[in-house]
Amino acid sequence: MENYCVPDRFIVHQTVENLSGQERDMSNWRLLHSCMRQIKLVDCRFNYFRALDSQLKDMSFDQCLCKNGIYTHCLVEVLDVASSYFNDSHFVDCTFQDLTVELASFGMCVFDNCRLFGPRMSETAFIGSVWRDCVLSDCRFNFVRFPGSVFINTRFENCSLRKAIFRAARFINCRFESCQLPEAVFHNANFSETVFRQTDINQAGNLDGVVGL
Amino acid sequence: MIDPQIIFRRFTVGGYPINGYLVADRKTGIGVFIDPGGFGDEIAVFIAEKKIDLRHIFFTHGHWDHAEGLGDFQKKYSVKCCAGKNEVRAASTILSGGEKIEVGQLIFTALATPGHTAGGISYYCRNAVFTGDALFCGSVGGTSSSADAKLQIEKVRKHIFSLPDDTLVFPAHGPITTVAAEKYANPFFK
Repeated sequence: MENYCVPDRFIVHQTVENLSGQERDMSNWRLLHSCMRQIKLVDCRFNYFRALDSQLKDMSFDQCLCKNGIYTHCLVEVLDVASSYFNDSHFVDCTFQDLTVELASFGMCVFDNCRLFGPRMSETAFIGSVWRDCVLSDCRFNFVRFPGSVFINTRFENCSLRKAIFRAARFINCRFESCQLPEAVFHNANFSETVFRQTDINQAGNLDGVVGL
Repeated sequence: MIDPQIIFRRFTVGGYPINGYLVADRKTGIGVFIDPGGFGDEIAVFIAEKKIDLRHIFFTHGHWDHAEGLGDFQKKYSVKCCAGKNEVRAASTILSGGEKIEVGQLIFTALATPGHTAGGISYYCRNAVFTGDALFCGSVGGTSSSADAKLQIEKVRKHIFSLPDDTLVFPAHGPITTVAAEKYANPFFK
């Protein structure tokens, strides 16, 4: 996944705020121990972004391309994403709070030791994604898809997963606790050492081909 | 977003909402709207602000949710319509796959992707492919028979998955994706 590109801009120990951009190419930025806030981007590119130990707050992405990013030990708060694409990105030890996401794609992304608190997502896809040691808490998902994704040591807590699609997904040592699964699809999903507590898997609309339940 | 030479915008259109796409050549301003499921002020304002000369309408297929807005477009713009065989009565250019259509200096290639409908067409230009209801992120469009389902899978594999892996896929429903993500992770192609 790593393609080295000469960075266009380094932001170190700084705060970048009140930035609006349209049709800008902000690829190859490096954010180190910094904060970006009150950023509004429309129709922008943000490829090969690297963020380490930084905060991304009050940001809005509309019809943006943000592929091949690496985000490590970051706090992402109040993020609004619409019609955008974050494919082939890697999130390590990141915390996401107060996300609103619609019609976005996080295809082939990897989430390691990440925490999502209270995200609201609709019509969003995480195709072929990998989730390791993650916590998804108080999620309000409507038609969010995870086809072909892998979940390892990952917990879903108090989540509403209406029409969520986990087609051909794999769950290894995972836990669903106090979750709602109306019309969720687990077609050809594979469960191994996965627990459902106060969660009725039979609420799901499609359990055809499920293994390990 | 998709190419510096392209003016691009996605709109939610129609009574049964779909993704309609406006693509224009930045140099000449000549543009196309793909799947006119509806029309509204937001589209008209964008076209005016970007000084787009809308001359073309492309249909991926003729279902009403993809075509309902055609009349409103025709009232405001002088457009020529392209569609697959027997898909849209108003189409002046009938496509079967392989045709090149010029939109200003942009060249779109028609790709035959039947299955969801018999005359389904996807449109490919500059690292972007507009697949209508043939291919969605992590899924495929519904079909009325297993034979049509098989045909759809075959044609998507042949015409869409043969495109470069980093080609952006813009479906009529749901979020954008890429050829790579669909080729390697879409469960319908396993």
